[in-house]
Amino acid sequence: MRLSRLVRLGLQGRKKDTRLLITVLTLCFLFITLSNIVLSSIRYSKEEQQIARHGRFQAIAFEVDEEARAAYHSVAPQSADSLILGQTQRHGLLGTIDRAYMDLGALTLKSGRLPQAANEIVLTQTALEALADKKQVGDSIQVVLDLGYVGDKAIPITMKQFGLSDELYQLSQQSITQQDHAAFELAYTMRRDESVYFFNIEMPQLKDLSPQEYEQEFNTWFYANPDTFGLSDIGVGRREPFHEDGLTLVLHHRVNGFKLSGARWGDRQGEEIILNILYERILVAGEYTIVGVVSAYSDQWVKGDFALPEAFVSPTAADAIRRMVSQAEDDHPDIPRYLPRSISLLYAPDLTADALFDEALQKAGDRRQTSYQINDLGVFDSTGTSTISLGNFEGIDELTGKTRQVYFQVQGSLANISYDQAVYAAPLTLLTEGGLRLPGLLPIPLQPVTPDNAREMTSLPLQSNTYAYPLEDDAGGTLQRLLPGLMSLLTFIAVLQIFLTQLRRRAKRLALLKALGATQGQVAAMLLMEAGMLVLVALPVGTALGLLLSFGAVEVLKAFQGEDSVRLFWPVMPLIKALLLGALAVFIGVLLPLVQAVRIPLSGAFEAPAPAPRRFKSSGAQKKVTYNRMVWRNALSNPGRSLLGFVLAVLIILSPLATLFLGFHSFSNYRVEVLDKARPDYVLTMPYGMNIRVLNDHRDRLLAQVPGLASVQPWLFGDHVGIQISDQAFEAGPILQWYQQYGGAEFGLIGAEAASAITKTDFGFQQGGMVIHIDPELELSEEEMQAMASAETLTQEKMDVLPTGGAMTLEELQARYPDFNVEPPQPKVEEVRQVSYPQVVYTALWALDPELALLPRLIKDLDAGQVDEEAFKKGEQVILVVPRYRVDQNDLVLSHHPRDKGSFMEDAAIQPGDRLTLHTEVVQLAGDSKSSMNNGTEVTVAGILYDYSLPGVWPLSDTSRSYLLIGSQRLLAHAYPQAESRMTAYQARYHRLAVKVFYPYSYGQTQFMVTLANDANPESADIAMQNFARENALDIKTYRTANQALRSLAVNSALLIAMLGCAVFLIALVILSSSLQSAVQQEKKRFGILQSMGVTRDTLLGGQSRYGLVIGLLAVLAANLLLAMLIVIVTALSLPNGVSLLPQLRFITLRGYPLLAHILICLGFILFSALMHAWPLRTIARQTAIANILDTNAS
Amino acid sequence: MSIILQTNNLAKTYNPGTPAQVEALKPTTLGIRQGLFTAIIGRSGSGKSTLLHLLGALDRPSAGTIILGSQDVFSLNDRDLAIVRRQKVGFVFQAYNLLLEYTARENILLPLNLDGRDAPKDRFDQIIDLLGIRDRLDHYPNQLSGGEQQRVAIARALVTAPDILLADEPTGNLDSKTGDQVMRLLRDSAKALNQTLIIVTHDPGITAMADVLITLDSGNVVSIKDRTA
Ligand SMILES: Nc1ncnc2c1ncn2[C@@H]1O[C@H](COP(=O)(O)OP(=O)(O)OP(=O)(O)O)[C@@H](O)[C@H]1O
Ligand SMILES: [Mg+2]
Repeated sequence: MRLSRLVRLGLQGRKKDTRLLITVLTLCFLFITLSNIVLSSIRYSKEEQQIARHGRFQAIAFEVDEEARAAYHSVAPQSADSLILGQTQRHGLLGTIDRAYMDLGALTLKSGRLPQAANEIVLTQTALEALADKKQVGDSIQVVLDLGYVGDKAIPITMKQFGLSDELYQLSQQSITQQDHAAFELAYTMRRDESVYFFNIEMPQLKDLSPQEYEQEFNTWFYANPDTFGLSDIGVGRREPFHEDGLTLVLHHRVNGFKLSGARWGDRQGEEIILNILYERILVAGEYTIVGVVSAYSDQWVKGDFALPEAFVSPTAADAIRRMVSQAEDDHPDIPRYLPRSISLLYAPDLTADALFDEALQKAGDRRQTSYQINDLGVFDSTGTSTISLGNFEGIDELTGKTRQVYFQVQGSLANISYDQAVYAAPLTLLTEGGLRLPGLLPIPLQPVTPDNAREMTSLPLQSNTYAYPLEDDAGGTLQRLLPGLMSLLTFIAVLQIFLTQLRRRAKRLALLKALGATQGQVAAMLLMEAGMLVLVALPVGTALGLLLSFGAVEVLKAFQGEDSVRLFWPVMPLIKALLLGALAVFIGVLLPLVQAVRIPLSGAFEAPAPAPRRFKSSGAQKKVTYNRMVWRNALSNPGRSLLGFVLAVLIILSPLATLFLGFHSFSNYRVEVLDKARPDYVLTMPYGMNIRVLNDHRDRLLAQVPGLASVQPWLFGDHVGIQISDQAFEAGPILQWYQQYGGAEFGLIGAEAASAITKTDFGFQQGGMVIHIDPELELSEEEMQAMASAETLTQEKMDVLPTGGAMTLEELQARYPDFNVEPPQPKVEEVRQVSYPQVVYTALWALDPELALLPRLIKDLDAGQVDEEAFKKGEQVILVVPRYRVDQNDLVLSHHPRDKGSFMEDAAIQPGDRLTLHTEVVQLAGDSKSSMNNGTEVTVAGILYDYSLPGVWPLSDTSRSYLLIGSQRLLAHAYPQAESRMTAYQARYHRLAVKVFYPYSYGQTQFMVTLANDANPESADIAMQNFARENALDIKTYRTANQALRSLAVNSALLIAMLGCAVFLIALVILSSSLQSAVQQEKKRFGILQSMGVTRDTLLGGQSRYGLVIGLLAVLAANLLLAMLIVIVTALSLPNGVSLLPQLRFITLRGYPLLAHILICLGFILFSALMHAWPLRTIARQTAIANILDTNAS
Repeated sequence: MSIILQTNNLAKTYNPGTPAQVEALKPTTLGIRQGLFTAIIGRSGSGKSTLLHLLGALDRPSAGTIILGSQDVFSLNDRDLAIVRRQKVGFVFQAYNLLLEYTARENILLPLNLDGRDAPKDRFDQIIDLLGIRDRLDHYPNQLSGGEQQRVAIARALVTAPDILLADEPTGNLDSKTGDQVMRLLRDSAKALNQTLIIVTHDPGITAMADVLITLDSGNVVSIKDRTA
């Protein structure tokens, strides 16, 4: 008889064992297939989506010159480039485009086609929509290409102050009164530069406004654009224009020209113009026809600190431009040559994104520009003169080698730099972009690029496309890679276990075979052949079932995450590898049993030496043997089998419990970052506080315009609110003291620094170009100031320096207040006297929307004090948020988390009932100047919050500020009188710039927290939100993708864990139930004997199910113990410094854990265990005693 | 003497309706008298064990009834049948059928314990002395010889003081001397305890000791010899 036939017959003979093995192996292969397909589907779908969204390129290089280009292409020959021709004045960068660039960048044409002829252009959706007049494909546009500042050095200048010429003033007045701004624009343009000038600022469409409104709007607009109107420095000269191919080229030299002074336009004092040639630049202008629109992409590409082109022309058009520029450069050798740089999309299909990045970085080098380091772009107001920004930057002194600070002022687009007793002027961009060089001052050396920091460096011109190829360092990714190995391990264990137990029963037969002359090799070959036959059956069946199931799994995923979230992929090679690994595991699994089988002695005594009877010590009197005890005695008399059963039972219960916990835990990042913080999908920000009407109007329009919004929560926000802290309070406030000593980011300013920020030096006025300060000791009462403000004598013409917004001349002031003693104007009036408060800290004030149900919730959560809702709404009361603190190795650790109650200390600097004065800055614009003053608002601290209950309230849950104030919108309006603004999108856009540079704090802020509904279409919501933000000049921050990414990461990890858990569960279950079955079969005779002694069926079943119940209970206990260990380990690993384990467990690891499900699983398992243990006995119990005793086919 | 066990047309057919059908016991009506020693003999396969198992209610008949005392045994449900069995019947198997994880003492006491009863001390002592296994009580079955195991099995059957003691070739595995000893023991102890003893045997020695001799052939009772008559 051939060996294979023997094997086949053997397998058929041991039906139950064979069936069990095939079932288990089929399950193993099923899960190997299923997990492989599902995981690959998830991964590839995600990758596909990421690539479709963020481009196929693996890295992007900016500012690529010829040399670098060659280097990059040698690494990634399939790369594509866009030659950057320059900066346009309206459409961002202008570059070239071709098919390859489109493909690698996953750019799509929304309409039209790519440019071909020299006068054709395509714009991005963003650039198109940014055009004021609605343009579309087929329209033509004027493109002015600015090849940038070609001057590369700062030039020493002499500063003079000038007034705006009367003529210009007349013109502007005229146009305002006539409401004909077009005429104004024209006249202004003509006046400003008689040669060529590209007027590039658009006026708002304000024709329908009343003259007063118009003037107001105009002023806002006017001051937002000082550059255009020559408030500071502008003068433009030109060299000859060139004309060719429909293009015009102009060489401009900019001059530092007149400068305004005086209180008002038309004030001719000191007018004088000195022309200083400052820098030159090349402008190329041409008419282009829009032939296509490209999808918006700049927010979808990795770009670091660099800009991407928003307008594209064909290579032909690029050649025309380049020809013209070179010709001009040839004609003017004094101008440095403009060298166009490219943007390269690097792509090498055989390299991973990481490898490509590393290689490209190595080949092309660092390529960053060294620069001075700008430290501070602060704001400095000197009352009564034009506002200027002050800052400083650092460089290295060539002689001493030490760092040296250099101060500069910003005027318009010029930086005036005080350096070595001289003043230099340079284009601000030269400074901010790092090209500025001063004699003897070296740039700060760059932090070297290392493999570790290279990917995080946004200033590096080489950026890895991490959006499309994210670094997979998450737990899910690790598990994903481990899964095939884990499944094989499981297969191995299952096979080993089953074969080993089976061997016991087969020992006699194998011994007989050997007695009949089978060699050891034949026995081994037999077992291996058996394994092979099993694999031969289980592999195709399991694989087929796995394929089938994976369809279902992908459908389930789709149901969870949306139709487009995942697509079925067949990972042929990895699947084959994983299946082979599984098959290998089967063969490895039979190795140990094989060795044992080969060693079986001829007597078949492998099973023979019955385990030496265990002595069951019964102390003293003989214990009565009850049936229950018999069950246990029996279990204990076969400890190996019982232990195995117990371990399997533990595995069976542990797998759903661990799956539940790990699945739950895989959501923990999502929970902490999104759910706990109630992080919205979008945050829209406006750099000023809107008045409530506008606010609600915005909200309503947002809801109407963007489909699928779940909620829109508007918040008003005041940054930089000063709170005055009494000395005693300061003593009692460790947090405050800490920051006074060491400084820290959580507070703005503190102590002396803050004191200089809040001064009453604003009590003064200006006359004849000089600033006069009122003696602060004078102490005008609030009423007196009010009186001064409302007095008829106050004229709007003069500087308004009083807090109330009025102003008066010295004579008027003296006339009104006879004992007002002011020294005659003196030249040294620049000296500023300050009234300083001893302790002022700066923080933020958040204003609640009264319609939010939040206030009652916050009131309920208060840790101290009581809030009267009415007083709160009126703005009389505030809630103060103070973190708990702990000193940890010379570091102050703050926490807003309820977890830290008890282990952190509470700061009692301010207590409920304390009164606070909130200091806010009010900036007023009048005429051509700005004044700033301090606005004090008294409030009562009614309640104190040390922590926010969970889930938190965005944006409060996102801030770590100390001494944060929560007030009403009315309070905010009071503290920021200017916050009640209403602006058009156009104004807001320019206002934003102004606010950022000139008066960052005085207008408050508005934020809309927007959350999408679950069934919303995210892509269309994104676009609608972007459009809304653009139309209304709101800044938009999108958390949606991040939220969604966290969620789908969690879902995927949970799925993975569930799959693994399911596999372990099923396989352990199959093995246990079969081993229980065979155990009972083996004991058939025993049961028969017992039956013969009169043990009833109920007793038999009852005993067995009680045994199962106890085993189930023990297994549940053991599993819970193991799980608890797992939980403690997981928690301990993530334990923040100084936080104790229990609160961390309670508030972080286990918060929201589905305990009920856990308990139900445990209870269910205990019952199930009872049932499972009793089930195999039920046929036996039904049979007669003699049938059981005599039945010998026990195996 | 009264009839303790009465069968009426008691019959057993294995695998009825299949090609493997065996009429192991044809309809049999007989009465077993109380306190006597009844031996069942016959050729191998004649249905002795089948009859004995039925008499001990270890198996269910295909037809017919057994009246034990005044009770129709097979009309009882499983539970009550089990209770009757453990209270009225003791069984000694050919293959001893001791539970390996229990000592001799525990094996002996098992039926009592399972019935929730305690062994009357004097009876237990009497039995083990009779069987001569006092010094083997704390041994486990695999530490005992076949004869000793058989004696433990007999003790186990006797200890509940069953009305009827059934034994299927109790000496089949023993040498003739030991077999004889065991047989005598069985008979003597049954007599001493006034139990009804029914034994299946091939042993002519045993047959000679019996009060009543029932001969089976191919499932039929071919003769009943009552020596007390
Ligand atoms: N479970 C069963 N299934 C089928 N046939 C059976 C079964 N048990 C016994 N038999 C058959 O019934 C008949 C009677 O068997 P039984 O065991 O009663 O014989 P026996 O007289 O005790 O024989 P022996 O002296 O060899 O023990 C035999 O032919 C036997 O093959
Ligand atoms: Mg027999």
